[in-house]
Amino acid sequence: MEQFNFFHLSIFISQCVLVAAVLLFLFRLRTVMGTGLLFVALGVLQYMQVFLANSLYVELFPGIMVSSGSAVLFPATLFTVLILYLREGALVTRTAIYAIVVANMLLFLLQFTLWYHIDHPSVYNPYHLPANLFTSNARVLITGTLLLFVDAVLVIVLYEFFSRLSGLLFLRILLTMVSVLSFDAIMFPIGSFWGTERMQELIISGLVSKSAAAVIYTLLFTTYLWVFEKGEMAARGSFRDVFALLSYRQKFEVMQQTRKREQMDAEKAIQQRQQFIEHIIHLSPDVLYIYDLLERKNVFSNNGIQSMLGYSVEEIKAMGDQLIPTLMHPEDFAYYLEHTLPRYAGLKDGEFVEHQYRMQNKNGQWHWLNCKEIIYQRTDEGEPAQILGVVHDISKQKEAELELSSYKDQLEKLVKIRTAELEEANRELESFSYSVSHDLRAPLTRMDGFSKALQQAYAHQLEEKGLHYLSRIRASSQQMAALIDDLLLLSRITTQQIIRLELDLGDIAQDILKKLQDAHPQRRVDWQIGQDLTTCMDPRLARLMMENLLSNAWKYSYNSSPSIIEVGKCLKEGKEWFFVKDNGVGFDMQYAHQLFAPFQRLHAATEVEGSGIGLATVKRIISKHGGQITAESEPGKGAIFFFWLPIYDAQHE
Amino acid sequence: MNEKRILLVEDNPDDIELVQIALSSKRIVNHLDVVTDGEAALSYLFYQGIYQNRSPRVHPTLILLDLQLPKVDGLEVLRQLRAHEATSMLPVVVFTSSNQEKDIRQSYEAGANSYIQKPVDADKFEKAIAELQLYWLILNEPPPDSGIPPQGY
Repeated sequence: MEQFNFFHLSIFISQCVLVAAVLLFLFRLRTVMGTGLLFVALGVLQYMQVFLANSLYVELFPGIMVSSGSAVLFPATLFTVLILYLREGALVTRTAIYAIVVANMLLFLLQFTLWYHIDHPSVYNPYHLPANLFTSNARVLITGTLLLFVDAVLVIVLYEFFSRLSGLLFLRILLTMVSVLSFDAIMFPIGSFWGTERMQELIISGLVSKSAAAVIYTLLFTTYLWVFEKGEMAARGSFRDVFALLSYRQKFEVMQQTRKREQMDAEKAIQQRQQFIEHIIHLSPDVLYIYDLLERKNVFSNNGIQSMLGYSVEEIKAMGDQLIPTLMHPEDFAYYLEHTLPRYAGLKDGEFVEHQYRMQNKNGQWHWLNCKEIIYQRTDEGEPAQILGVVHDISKQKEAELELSSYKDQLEKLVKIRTAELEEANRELESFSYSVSHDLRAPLTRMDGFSKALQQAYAHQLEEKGLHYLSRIRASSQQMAALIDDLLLLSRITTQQIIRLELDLGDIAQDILKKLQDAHPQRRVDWQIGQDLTTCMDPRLARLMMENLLSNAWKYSYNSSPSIIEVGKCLKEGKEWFFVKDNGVGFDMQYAHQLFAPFQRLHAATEVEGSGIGLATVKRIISKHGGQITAESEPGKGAIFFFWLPIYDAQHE
Repeated sequence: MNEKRILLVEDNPDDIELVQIALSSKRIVNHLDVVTDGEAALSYLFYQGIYQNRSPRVHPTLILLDLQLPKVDGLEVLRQLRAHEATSMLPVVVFTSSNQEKDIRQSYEAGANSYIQKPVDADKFEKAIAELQLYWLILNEPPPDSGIPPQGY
């Protein structure tokens, strides 16, 4: 036992404990900081162990050369991979393995570049590091990295294998690690130091030192698991699953499955869409069809055609190119050939042709159809080949249209006849009133003229009674002339065209009342005229209306002293009414309906003079403007005449 | 040209008489010539037919024109007067029983100087004639003689 180098052995064992402690501490930290820290440490360790395994060996025992790189650091890495697998599962372990491998491949490349130019004279190398250190470092690094990858996978696979043999965690780990590290102990020197003198020695040394490390680490890691993480191990599957997971095979399969599912989803969507379209076609009350323009026949039709025309889809197809010539109305067919058919040629995608025609159903009845068509398929040259169309039965609508237009025609004819009749009547009335004005007045002029001549020239031959009779003749002829004038006026209002202008009835009233006062200076009349009595009326007729209303008020208030006449406006039944009010004799409301009829007088001629046409004229003027007039009164308490006129915009008349 | 002459164009003898009565009451006018249809009025004014040698050979100072006349109506007479230089400026007062707007407008369009509806009231009738005389024969300055001898139309 003298040959044992206890000094070095104790250093190695304490190195094992230190490394295990650091790694387990970092492993424990994963719950707080994630696995990143641990991954980085593992990556660094790998480099360190390669460097040591390449450069420094201690003879622990005669013939046993041990490097702390491969005996202490490397097994620690594999143990960490194993507990990672036990606690976090294959997915996380896989990430760690690939991370270490990729990090070391990067290091290898960097080493490689160093080796390439370290010998160059311009490179300053103060410690005189040998160039072949870098060359062999690169070689060991790539061997170590590749072996680590194989070992790591082997650790997991073997662990699963030994799990089936033993339920004891310590035993499983020990067996796994001894096997993997033994494999590594053989493979690593072969890969790294092939051709060197002491290769055989290195292999044996590796087997011994790594098995020893396996025992120490198994003790340490099992203890850790037993003390700190006694709980459930991560769920693990079969060999196959684990292998698939580690090798990313599972990822590929998932991808394949996803693609397959997507494809199926797409197919299902297409199918649903197709069903949707079929439902629409089936449910549509309109006829949906495809017509081949080249073969001139129907190639598709929904069931709508049966309800519309009574022919089954098969019958329609069987008609072939005779479909349209047979069923379409001859007039419409001629139009179709000449006008509709040529339209397809110029039709762009997205545009449609709409046309109407009649078709005969199976029972021989004609249907008016409205048809909307788009180009469904084109030839290679882009010419329309097939059209897709929708046909809607518009027979009822057409019928209604025809009926309506015949009513309209009738109505127009009737209006024309009535208008002509009315014009004729107007003309007659005009010529009638002309002859009244001219021919009826002339004799009155003569009657009065000769009566006056008689009065003057033969007064001395007549007695007083004779002179009285003469004066009555003259008065009557003058009264008749006034009557004729008023009647003419009344008829003229009816036939005359009115011009609407904005005017103030107050101004007009003021003017008329002044003139009335001038004509009757002996009367005492007070009048009040309201503000802003503007309206739109024919100016002449407005004056005539106000003249009639005011002279009535003037006349009928003869026995009131003073007479009061008021002109203004007020709100009544939501409308603005003008009014003319007096404090005269008034009238009994039961005769109110006679007030506006021509020749109706509510007072004896001896009381008040007048033709009895004045209010009829007023009413006609107001009606002519689309307005309305009413009156309120009580005998002895005066009368009030209300009237309203529609508001017109003078600009639009 | 001291003699003031009125030409009355009127077909109704009663109306002629009424005008004569009215004129006589004031005695302003020296002479009243009467023609009873449109054609005669034109012959009178243009010295034709029975008026070929009418004397004196002067235009009336005022023409009182009825509208409804036999043969040629009043408006046509007026138009023809206005169309000829020799008579174009003669004062013409339309004196008729109509007060239809159409008649009034057409009369003025044809060149009437005034339009008076024959009043039914005899007092007004007399007054109208009196004022017509006063205005047209006395107050009004007649148009200067055109100097063109009226010839056939």
